[in-house]
Amino acid sequence: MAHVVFKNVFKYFDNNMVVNNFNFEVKDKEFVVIVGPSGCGKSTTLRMVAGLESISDGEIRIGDRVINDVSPKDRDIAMVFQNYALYPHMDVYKNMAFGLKLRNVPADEIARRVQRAAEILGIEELLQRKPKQLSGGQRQRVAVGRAIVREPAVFLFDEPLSNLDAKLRVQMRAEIKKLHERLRTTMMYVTHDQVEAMTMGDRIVILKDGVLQQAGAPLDVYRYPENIFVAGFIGSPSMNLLPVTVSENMVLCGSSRISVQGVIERIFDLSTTSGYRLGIRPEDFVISKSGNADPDTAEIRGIVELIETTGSETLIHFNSNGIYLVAKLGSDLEIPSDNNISLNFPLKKIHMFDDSTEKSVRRKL
Amino acid sequence: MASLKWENRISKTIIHVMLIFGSIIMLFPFLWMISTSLKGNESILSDSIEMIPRDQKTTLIDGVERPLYEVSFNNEQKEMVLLRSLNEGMAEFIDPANPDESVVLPLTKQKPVRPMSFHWQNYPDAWNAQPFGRYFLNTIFVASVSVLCQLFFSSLAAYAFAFFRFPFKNAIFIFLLGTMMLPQQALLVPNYVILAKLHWLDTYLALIVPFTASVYSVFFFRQFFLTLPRDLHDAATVDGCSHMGFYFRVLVPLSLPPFLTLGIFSFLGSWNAFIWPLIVTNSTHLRVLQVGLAYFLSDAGTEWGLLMAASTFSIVPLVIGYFFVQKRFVQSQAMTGLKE
Repeated sequence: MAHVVFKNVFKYFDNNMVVNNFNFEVKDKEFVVIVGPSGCGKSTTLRMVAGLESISDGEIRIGDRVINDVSPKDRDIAMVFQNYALYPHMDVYKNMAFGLKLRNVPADEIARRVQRAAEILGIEELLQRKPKQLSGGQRQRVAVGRAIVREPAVFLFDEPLSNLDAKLRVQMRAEIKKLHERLRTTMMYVTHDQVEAMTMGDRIVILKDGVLQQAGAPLDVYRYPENIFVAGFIGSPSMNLLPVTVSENMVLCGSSRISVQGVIERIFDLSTTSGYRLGIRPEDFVISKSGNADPDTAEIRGIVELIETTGSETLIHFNSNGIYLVAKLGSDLEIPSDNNISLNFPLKKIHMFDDSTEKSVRRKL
Repeated sequence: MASLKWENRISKTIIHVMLIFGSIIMLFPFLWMISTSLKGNESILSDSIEMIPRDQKTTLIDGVERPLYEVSFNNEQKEMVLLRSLNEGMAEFIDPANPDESVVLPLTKQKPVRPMSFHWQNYPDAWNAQPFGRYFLNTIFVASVSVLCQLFFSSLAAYAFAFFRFPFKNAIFIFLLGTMMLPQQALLVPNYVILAKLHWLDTYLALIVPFTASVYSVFFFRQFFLTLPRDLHDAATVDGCSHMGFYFRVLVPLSLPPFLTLGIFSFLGSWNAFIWPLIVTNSTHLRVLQVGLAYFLSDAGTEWGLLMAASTFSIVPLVIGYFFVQKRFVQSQAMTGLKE
């Protein structure tokens, strides 16, 4: 059983609190992605599991063992680093065998394990090469291979794909996910890329300033962000967040009025009328059709300011009475020549946050 | 394109001319040393500048060695002996074949006969003047041990400064750097006193121990180690390396260029050290080469031929050694296992 439990974990550098009372359990065989902006403490959290940083307070357990004072080599973990950290003076075989050799694993066992890892990763041909003779993707495979041969209880990945180009990153992302399915080992993966987090993790953990913001299955986090930070961080482009006041059947946002037909009160448990933020994901907008009178959708009008086309989709940046919003729409789009646009969004998909606490407003449904 | 090629050629030519000029300036003292080591005393002290060793040819006239001159006389060239100098730059010459006839000619217009002559004997004479075999062994022993110790201890200190976190790390490092500001001469007396109190004077310890660490080396290593990614240390730690394991298995193999550079520098420094060995040792059996060379400088005058011969054989091992390490010296270990 290789679950990893964080209990009231704190980390200080000098007097700066980098990780603040982190409580979480990575279940056995689970793939957990820790995501957050730079400086949020995600790498530090991983490094505390690896033993590369001391734990200022609290405890971390791997399996049933508290590992606070266990040396890194005895923690039964393996780690993959962002810049690969391959030993430049050793060939691929020696790089992969290094950790086993230090543990006095018999040579034939080392050979067997390296061969197996090389097969899994498709790098059998590269075993005699030095790291400098490898491409970025190959180096990353070797770095993963070095972790695999150790057959650890927990794999730790510290932004392993950040240095790869976009195409290779997508490919390696899938390979690491497949590797997890094949090895069925507990994995903790740190990234700042929310797409990586969404696509790879069984669960994702979002950190900000060392504080856990939300943890859950990727789609749950996407659908039900617990606070404004998570709402803005997960999803690309970010969720539109408008300061609003709620009045009967209307949401007032600056000088805009959005008819909501009482739906908001039905969905959300609103205690007051003002001090809210209304969240709408860019992808929830659709172009209004004339004669639309669906009571479950609302309409918003604006003037298009910028159009970004990626081929498969179009991002419309528009201004609705001084409030800037982004909508993500399909590629076959015709913008009226006067740039006036009218968009609909389903009221069931909106999010409401309390402006003072930044937390999401409780849903009734 | 063509003009670019020409520009390239011209700049290369200029660079080469400058390099050749520089190397002549650098080489000249060595060539002069070798040339002097093969000259006789008379030739060394003469006021003519000759690169190739020559000696004045003489002949015995009436039991006295007299110099031979190439004399132009009656439209013919003849080797004649200078008998004596006269007033107003004139001199009297005689033909050795016919000593009774003499001619008086202006001395400055005649050319002394100076055939090439190499005084190889300077070398065995110099070698035997002092127990240079012993001096060589002493120097090699002292230089090797102090260089090995210096590389080891300095790189360990630099390893700590580059990879570890500890209180007052930067303050300690700056303090260390500050000690480089002190001139060596200012340290001579305090160091001497320390060694005297340790009863290490006139021992190998006095020659070796003060050079087993060097702030400059610590600084040099630290700067190099800082260019290695910390992730390497982390990866090795996770792989199960101890601190010394990382040092020997990863750090040292990756740091051959600074090890070689500093090794050569400090070996040269140790080989050429003079003042320190001179003041801390008295016994002949502890004497090192440079102190041995000073034997040829005495109140009665300097025996230049022997001194230069001894100087020449004292640098031979260094030159040979340099040719061996030069290739490794310029090779640099590529750091391409890491993301550039």
